[in-house]
Amino acid sequence: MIAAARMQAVLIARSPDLLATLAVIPLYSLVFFTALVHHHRESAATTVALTAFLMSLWSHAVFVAAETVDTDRREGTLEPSLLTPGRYLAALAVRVGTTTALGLPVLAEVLLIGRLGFGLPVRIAEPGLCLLVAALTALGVAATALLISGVMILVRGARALQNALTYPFYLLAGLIVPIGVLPAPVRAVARCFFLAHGAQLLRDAAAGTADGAGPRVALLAALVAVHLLLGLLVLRRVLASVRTGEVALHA
Amino acid sequence: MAVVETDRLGRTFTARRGRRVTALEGVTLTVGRGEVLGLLGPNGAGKTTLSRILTTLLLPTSGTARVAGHDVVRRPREVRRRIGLVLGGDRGLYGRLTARQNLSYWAALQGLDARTAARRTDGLLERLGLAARAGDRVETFSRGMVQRVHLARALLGDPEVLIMDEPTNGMDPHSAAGFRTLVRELRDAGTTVLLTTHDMHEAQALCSHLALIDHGTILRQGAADTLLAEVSARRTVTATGVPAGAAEVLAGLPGTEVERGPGGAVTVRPADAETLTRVLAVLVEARAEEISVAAPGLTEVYRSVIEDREFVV
Repeated sequence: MIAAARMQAVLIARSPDLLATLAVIPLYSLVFFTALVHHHRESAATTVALTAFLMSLWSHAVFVAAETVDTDRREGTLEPSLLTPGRYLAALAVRVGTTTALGLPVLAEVLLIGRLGFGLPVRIAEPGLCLLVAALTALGVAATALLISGVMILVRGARALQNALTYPFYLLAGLIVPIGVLPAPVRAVARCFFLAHGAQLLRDAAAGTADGAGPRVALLAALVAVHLLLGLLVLRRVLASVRTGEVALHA
Repeated sequence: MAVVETDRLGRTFTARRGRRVTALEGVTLTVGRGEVLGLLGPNGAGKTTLSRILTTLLLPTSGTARVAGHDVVRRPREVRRRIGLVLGGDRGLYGRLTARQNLSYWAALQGLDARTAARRTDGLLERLGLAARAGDRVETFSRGMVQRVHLARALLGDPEVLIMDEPTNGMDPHSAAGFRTLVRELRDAGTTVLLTTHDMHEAQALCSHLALIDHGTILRQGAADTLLAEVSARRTVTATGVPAGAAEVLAGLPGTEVERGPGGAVTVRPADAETLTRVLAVLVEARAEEISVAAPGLTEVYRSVIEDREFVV
């Protein structure tokens, strides 16, 4: 599977357009940081940086990583890939994971923009915990990309909804307003959403207030695992549908 | 020994509004080890459906198919370990990767360990004349080179059966000839080949056996020589420098079709062997030049079996 990760990294490196999301989203942080400085809210700099990072990770997954299977269909590589003895699904998961992981450096990028560009007091109190939570969250985001890629192929017209898969989820994850201000039913959904847990844990780890983080990390890992399983099952269903003729080999 | 065998194989699809469409019906065929079966038929005849079932990409709705002794429905993984698919055209490879990167990726998907994958990749790049361009992106390759990468990919798993879907489509004549030489080498080494093509010249040059398919059913199949001998199509006689008087004599022979061209060129299709002898005698007596007789080829076999749907008036 190292070959699949290496191959995907090369493919993306040679397709600069696919990295556009990673370049654009951090630009948001410039706007956010400018607003913070203007309103003398420098203390919120780290939270803003983490928000920009998570938005970047999510949108990269929705618009780039989730396209992996459909791109294989368009380029005619799905057909020979399916002829390999049963490893394509694993290779796809690795490729989607690799694509998503390319969003992780954005965390360092936004922190540096805040500190060096604006002189803001961005700091990470518990870097080890932060990295662990960021990695787990990225895995969950990759699972989301698997799920979306499967749904986009199974359901005609689902692509039209792709653009709607960002801001509603930012709200649900508490990236735009605190989850506490959301209506009760939405708060209940947010409690099951890994991104909401990951975001809060990241903020707490950065602030040094994540006491007793073990159970929270375990809960995050469990939610990510469920998400990953769901993504793999949907994608396996898509690949099985190709054999029955329900899904076309070529887009 | 049969390497590919199907028994009353069928496939139907459900189109919009629940309408059933039959893509394949009652297909029974056998391909032995080292044989090259040409699958000939018009677009939409069922060739691709048959190829996809044999490669496990599509499930049949009736009948059975076995490849290298394994059922394509019940043991798809065993089948996949024993087949290679060669697609025609530009699609099917990662254009932004180099030839070597493409092959390394597919070798990993085939389950080859890193050392074996590197050895096979190097060997195939060398054997198929791609070693000098192994580090170049596939998107910069000519059609002929892309086809060789397709073939190299298909050969990574050392398959018993190669399934080729119009492999020389769009190639220039030199590339196509080189590709056919490679296929002959594989055939001689014992690889069984199922070749889907519209190119009758290619089919005649490569195939030991033929199956003509249309409307999802096999209309005629057998050894290529047998099918060619059975065809009742006429011989074609061509000559140049034929005097007008001799051309009129030819046109007067019973059941003979004559086409006249510039410079005394004529094309004659005699009705039978006896008339053919008389046509040749007339041409020799008239001191015609460049007299040649062409036996009916696969094109004639194809045209006598498959009905013309495109240009029927």
